Amino acid sequence: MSIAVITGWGVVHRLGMGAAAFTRGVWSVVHGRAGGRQTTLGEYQITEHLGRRGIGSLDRVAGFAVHAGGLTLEDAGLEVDEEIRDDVGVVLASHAGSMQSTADVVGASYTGRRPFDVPPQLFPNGALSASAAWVAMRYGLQGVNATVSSGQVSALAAMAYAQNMLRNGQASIVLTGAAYEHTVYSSVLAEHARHQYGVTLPQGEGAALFAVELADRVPGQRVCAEILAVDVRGASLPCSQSEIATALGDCIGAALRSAGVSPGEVWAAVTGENGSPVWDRTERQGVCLGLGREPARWVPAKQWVGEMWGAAGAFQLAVILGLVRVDPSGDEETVCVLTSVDPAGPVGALVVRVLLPTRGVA
Amino acid sequence: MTRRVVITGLGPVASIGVGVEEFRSAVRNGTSGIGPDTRLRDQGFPTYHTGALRFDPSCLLRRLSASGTEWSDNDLLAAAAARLAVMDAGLDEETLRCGRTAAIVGTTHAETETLEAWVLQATLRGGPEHVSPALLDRMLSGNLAVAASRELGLTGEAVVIPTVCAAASYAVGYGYDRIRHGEVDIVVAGGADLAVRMGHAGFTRLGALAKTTCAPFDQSRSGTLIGEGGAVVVLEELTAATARGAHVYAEVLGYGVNCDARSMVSPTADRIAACIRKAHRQAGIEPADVGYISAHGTGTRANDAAEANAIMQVFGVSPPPTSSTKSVLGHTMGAAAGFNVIAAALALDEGYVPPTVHFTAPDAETRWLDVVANKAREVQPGIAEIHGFGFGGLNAVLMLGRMR
Repeated sequence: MSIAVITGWGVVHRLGMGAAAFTRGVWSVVHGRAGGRQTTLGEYQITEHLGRRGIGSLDRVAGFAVHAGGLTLEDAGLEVDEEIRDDVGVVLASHAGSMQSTADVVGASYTGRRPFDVPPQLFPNGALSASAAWVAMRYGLQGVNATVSSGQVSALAAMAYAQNMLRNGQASIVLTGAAYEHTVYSSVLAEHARHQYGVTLPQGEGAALFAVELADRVPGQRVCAEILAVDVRGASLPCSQSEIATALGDCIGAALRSAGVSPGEVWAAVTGENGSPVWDRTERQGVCLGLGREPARWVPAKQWVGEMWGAAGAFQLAVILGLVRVDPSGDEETVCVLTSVDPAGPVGALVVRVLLPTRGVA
Repeated sequence: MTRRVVITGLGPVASIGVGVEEFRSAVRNGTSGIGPDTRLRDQGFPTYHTGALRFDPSCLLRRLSASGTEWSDNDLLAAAAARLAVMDAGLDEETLRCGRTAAIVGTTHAETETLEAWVLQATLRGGPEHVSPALLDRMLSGNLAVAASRELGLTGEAVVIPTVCAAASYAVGYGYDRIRHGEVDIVVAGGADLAVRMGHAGFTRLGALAKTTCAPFDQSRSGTLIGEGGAVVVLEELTAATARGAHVYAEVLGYGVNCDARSMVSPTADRIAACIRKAHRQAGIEPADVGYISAHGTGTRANDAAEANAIMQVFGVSPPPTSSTKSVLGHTMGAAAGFNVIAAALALDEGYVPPTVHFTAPDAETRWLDVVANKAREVQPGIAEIHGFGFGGLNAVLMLGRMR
């Protein structure tokens, strides 16, 4: 079966808007040249990036997704016209959609004169699938439109789903990735995670999207990276840390076999570590089990972008695409393993080969 | 060479009945599960007839505890429906625990009930930071599938597909793909949704709710009614199912998914038609092969008109018999397409087409449909087409075939 390849990507993040700016931002923080550690977007206004037309009742998280979707189409050089519209899909990972939109609708129901005095334009935004639908509406993408949720592993699960859609002809190009908004609700959840698991990373926010297509339909020079394998699993039974580490190890092992990659070829393990002593240890154990050794490098990608839960995997991928471009120790083709662990049980691994733009294509 | 995928277990947890026997009898006879919900009336909602579930998940669950704080009611419902489907399929614990097995659950609301409880606490106590920690533990997305997976001891992926009211078809379609490509052998797939305040408030505000009766495609239709339930099926590879002597209800032939990309709330007939054609192409069939359409049929004026128009575009003036389970269930959101799948699998298996109740006469917009009015029709469909559409212009059409 043909593998999925990334032909363009777009990021909305404090580190930079768009693949190139984000890559420069990653370079700055990795080399310690960026001041501060701000990872949220503060007073971000979607209208400054997309204008006022067609914005309607876009909420913050959908705004990030739509903005990143446009940057991705641009980076991939995709003009979505009538001929291909039906074949371009969107598959996003979602943690909880817009908790703020949902809370605004529900809050209005509790406090309004009548229980149905809710803002009608906000009501559809409460759906977890709203961001993906907004991206489709903005750019006229009429292929599959789906949203996938599996805790921390959501973005990897979305990539697996996107790949499946390409293989089955439900779309020939899919924009996949995730968006996450920092709100008062997410702050409370983050504080809870700090108490419960010792998570130390600050919250991040933004969106990272990737245009994926099947390798056999794309000329080589357009490829930024190859998704060699994705493997996601739920943990079936209430299990111990060591059992979850074993599950992650199995997951990585299976992904590497499916990718035809030996552990020695892996340049870096790009983990979802977030400062939680227990979960970071579990994830590292899993990686070592899966590779049968320590990886050549650990890249705890979220330290530069912040914690974004269900959207985290998309940012791990964006960070490594950027990092490989600016790290002189990377080869022309660099294989990395991305990993995700969720305290509720799901684990995931993605094997990606990042290609440097040496052929004059940035 | 791809593998054939069949449905070998049905797990309906519905207002009209729990389990295959009760569900079949109610759907076939057109027995409605709709009634007044005085709690909603007392809260001040002008429309308060719903298809509410009266169900205790602990009567089905073997591993998950229904009394602790770990799982939301929606999680427990998904897990119970999955357990029911597995029991109906006659699968033993060992096969589930040692094989390549996965859970894929569609939903509209996911953990919204938990967020609503949080918002209520925030409203009463003066801010979102005043919240019971136990609620926050239940905010994890993916929990519906993790709960089903834990209940059954499954080994593979546990994924939630929250694609609103088409979600269960997405889930069944994805499970079908996983099995036919040989990545997994058994998948529990479907949808689950309990009613939430946000849904009732939002649909009331949009004017989408009927007073007392959901009458899809009828001239008098005035809106939908909110229902709830869990609808999960067991998908299995054909030769393995046959080898263990399983009863095969139907075969999954293929599906199509697409998007209107035009409006958040208004459906588009030509995009629905394109989705139906895509499903036919994927399944390798012609319109004339379809013997039953299990419609999305919400009972709102605009939705039914768009769906009827799309059916005419694809099937011309003599479309197959069509009915909507929402006339007896109400709109069960993420479970809706799952109930359509279960109703269609039973219809193919036993040779009838279930009715749409409350149907008196069509109007100008639905007149070309062959609505199975009020009484089941004794015909044997060979292929059933399942419709599921949702907010954001999300369309899913799934094709099931009779097993011979």
